[in-house]
Amino acid sequence: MEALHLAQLDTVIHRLNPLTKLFIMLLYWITALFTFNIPVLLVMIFLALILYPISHIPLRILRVILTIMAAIFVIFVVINGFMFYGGKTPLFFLYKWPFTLEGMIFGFAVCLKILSVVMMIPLLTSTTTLPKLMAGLAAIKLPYKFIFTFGVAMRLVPLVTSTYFDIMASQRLRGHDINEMNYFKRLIKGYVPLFIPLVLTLLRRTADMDVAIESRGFGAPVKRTYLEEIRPRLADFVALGISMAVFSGIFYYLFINHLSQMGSIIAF
Amino acid sequence: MYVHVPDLARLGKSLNINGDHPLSLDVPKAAVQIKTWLGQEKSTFEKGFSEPTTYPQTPSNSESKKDVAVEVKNLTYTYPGTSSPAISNMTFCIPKGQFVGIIGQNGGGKTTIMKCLVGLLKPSNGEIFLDNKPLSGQKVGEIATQIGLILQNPDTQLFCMSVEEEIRFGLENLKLEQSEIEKRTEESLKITGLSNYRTLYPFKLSLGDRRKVAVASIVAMRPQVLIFDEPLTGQDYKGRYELVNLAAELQQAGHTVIMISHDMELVAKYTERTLVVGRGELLLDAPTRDVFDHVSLLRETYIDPPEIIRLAQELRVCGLPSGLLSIEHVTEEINNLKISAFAGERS
Repeated sequence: MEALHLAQLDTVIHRLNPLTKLFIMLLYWITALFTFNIPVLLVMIFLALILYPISHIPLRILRVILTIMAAIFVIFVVINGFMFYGGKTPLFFLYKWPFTLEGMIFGFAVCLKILSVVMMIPLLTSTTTLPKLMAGLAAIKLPYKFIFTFGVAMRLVPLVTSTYFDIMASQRLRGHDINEMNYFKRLIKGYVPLFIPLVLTLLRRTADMDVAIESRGFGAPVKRTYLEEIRPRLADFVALGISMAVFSGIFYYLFINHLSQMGSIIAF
Repeated sequence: MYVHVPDLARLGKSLNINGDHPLSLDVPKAAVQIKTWLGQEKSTFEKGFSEPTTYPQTPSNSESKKDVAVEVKNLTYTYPGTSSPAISNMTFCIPKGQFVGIIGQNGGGKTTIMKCLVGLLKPSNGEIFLDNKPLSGQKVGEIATQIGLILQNPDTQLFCMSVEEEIRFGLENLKLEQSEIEKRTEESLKITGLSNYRTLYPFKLSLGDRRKVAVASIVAMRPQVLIFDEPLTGQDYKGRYELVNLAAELQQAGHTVIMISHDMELVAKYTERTLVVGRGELLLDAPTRDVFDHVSLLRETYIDPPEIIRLAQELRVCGLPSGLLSIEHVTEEINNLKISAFAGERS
């Protein structure tokens, strides 16, 4: 919900062409997915963090993301600590299985990768209105059905959230309060009374939406027009230039400087 | 078959004014027709309708403490991320066993009050007492045994494979004995008339029946106070009356019932007292028979009194008493006027 409000702000990042932002985000994602180098990943996270205040996105959004992902991160580190193939430095043993330093570092690197990828999403979605983003995707000649599906998915996020909170409220009124349950109880019986009505309600709404969009000419055999104009400006070229320079530097560091080999986890 | 016949058409038929020219469905025109029929076209009865100039507040403050079901003192709530409060400084109390209506425009703060009452929202300021005990510090589940809220959309709570299971869900959460759960489930099914549907999948039922399932699952928890949040939205004529009749029966059985509604006809017919909420404030708190006289205030909150009440107000110049809310009462009083007019002619 907040992203819809934030997308209306006017900052340097907001004013950039959606395609510029999309390109920078893809460049960032490719780099993040390409390397396990922890210092590089930390630098990339730092760079993304700088963009948050510039685009007036409150950092508490990250707190929400981190809260949701904390459990996944712990699981990654633990599983890799025990299961990493080639781990040589055991830190401790659980029965016969060693928890290795290399595995732990690898798990940590995976977490940083995921975090850096996830951190870029609000920077695009909270600084670009959906019509602009859709017009941007149309400008690069993506099929309209794909663009529309993407748009609907984005629009469904606030709908799903508000429906989920309504359902949670109505179940709390019948004494089913997941906030009062411990982690395991939540997993076993906490979410069923929330997710079944959520799925059924959303199925019903999407069926309604199907009728609504078709009755407004979706799929008509004519070329679609867009209200938003997507044109590159000087700021876009500057932003692209800066990002190309930064990411070239990162790749230079990874390839040429030989501090670590590509794909290696031992970055120190 | 359940078909809604406009009140004025029903009135025209029951008065049998003139078979060739049925009563107009437009209130001023209908009033002229009735005045002509009564032979009082130019009457200016001294107690004709005039809007009250004072707005009564909290008439039930005089209730003794033990008879109060809900007491709200200076309630203020501001949603996070907003600067102005959704409701501010509201004070009212609702005696036990009363049927109270809450009316007002959308976004006026009605649902926010209800969510504060059931503990879903923590008041920014002020206090709420249920049965003279402060609400603060109690969990939503605990509050649910004292005050039950039936939300607008029943689909947000249905997830079980049968109606019976759905009703039992809340009772199991209260950790009641199996025998008690069975007993209360039976009782709830009976009250709501769902006994024949007990094994059916709730989503197979009509919207009206799904609402009844929601009511049944709340009633089973035996709260003293029941709140219906716009229960009539999307309901057909039959469904509306069945649900409000059910609410009235629950009130007869001793529950305190609060109904938020945009259906003025039903508010007028069923509730004893009405709270008018607008701009986040309590604008009026008065017996329902007096509320609809505050025409200007109601218009501020985009509420129109029901046609039959507007007609009764127009006819007060002919001697119709104030406080008439139902078609039956209006018909009776007009007939009385006709009889006295006829008796006057003869003498």
